[in-house]
Amino acid sequence: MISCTEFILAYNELFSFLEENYGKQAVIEFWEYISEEFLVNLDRLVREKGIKGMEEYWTHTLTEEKADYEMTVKINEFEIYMKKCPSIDILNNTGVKKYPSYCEHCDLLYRRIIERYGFFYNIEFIDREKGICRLTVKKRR
Amino acid sequence: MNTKVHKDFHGALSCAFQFLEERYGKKDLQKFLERVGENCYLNLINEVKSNGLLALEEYWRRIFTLEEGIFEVERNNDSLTLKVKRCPAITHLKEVGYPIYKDFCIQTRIVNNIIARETNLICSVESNQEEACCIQKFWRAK
Repeated sequence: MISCTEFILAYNELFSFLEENYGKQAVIEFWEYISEEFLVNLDRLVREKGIKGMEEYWTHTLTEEKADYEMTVKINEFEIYMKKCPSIDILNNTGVKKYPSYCEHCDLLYRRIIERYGFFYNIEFIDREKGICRLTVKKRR
Repeated sequence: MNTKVHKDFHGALSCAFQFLEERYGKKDLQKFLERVGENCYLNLINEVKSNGLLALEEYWRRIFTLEEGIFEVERNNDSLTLKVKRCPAITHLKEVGYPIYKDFCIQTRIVNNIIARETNLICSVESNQEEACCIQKFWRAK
């Protein structure tokens, strides 16, 4: 069993494997597949509860992943300021070769779902090496 | 202290296996898992090279305890056996309702083979995915 604590290493390895063998488009197609086939719980939460659903989803996942972050929830806005991304922390501390575009999956995976339900989605990669970023969602007027 | 781990990652891995087989075939899934064994388990491989089967025993006890599996480990001078009575990954996927790739246990067979190959050990895996149990063995070549 690949432990869930080792998943990030395998995930990172898969991105590299796909790009080396089939090009960047294959990586993008994998992210699209994960977004559609795996993130069904996020899709349901955003569809049913909007911003409250985002809060519920990320509170659960980021707590289990032991992320260092600040979350801001308003009626029409949602923000995660990631101070230390747990995935980047794992990649930095295990000596594996980091897939150069690793952070981009967080843009594609979640944007596809969140924008589907009438929100603007933005993610600013402040420091990819340290795992600092800001995810912002706003309700469309 | 929060000791929970994010077991949903097993679902993402299952989904990744499905993607690889659908798009590129099972051989590519095998190649990918060999890379995982070689690159992601290098620290464990080096520990086994240094400390023998004890390193693998400690590793198994740590991850299966962390993931709340039901298991037993037996070690003697030349062999190590892990009996997984309730695989935490398959159990979680069933509980949450995530699809489980038809040969989900391929990950264990291939990663264990790589660890064995790199440490001059022999290994075997007998798994029953439906029942979420398996027996994994490593032993020294005579």
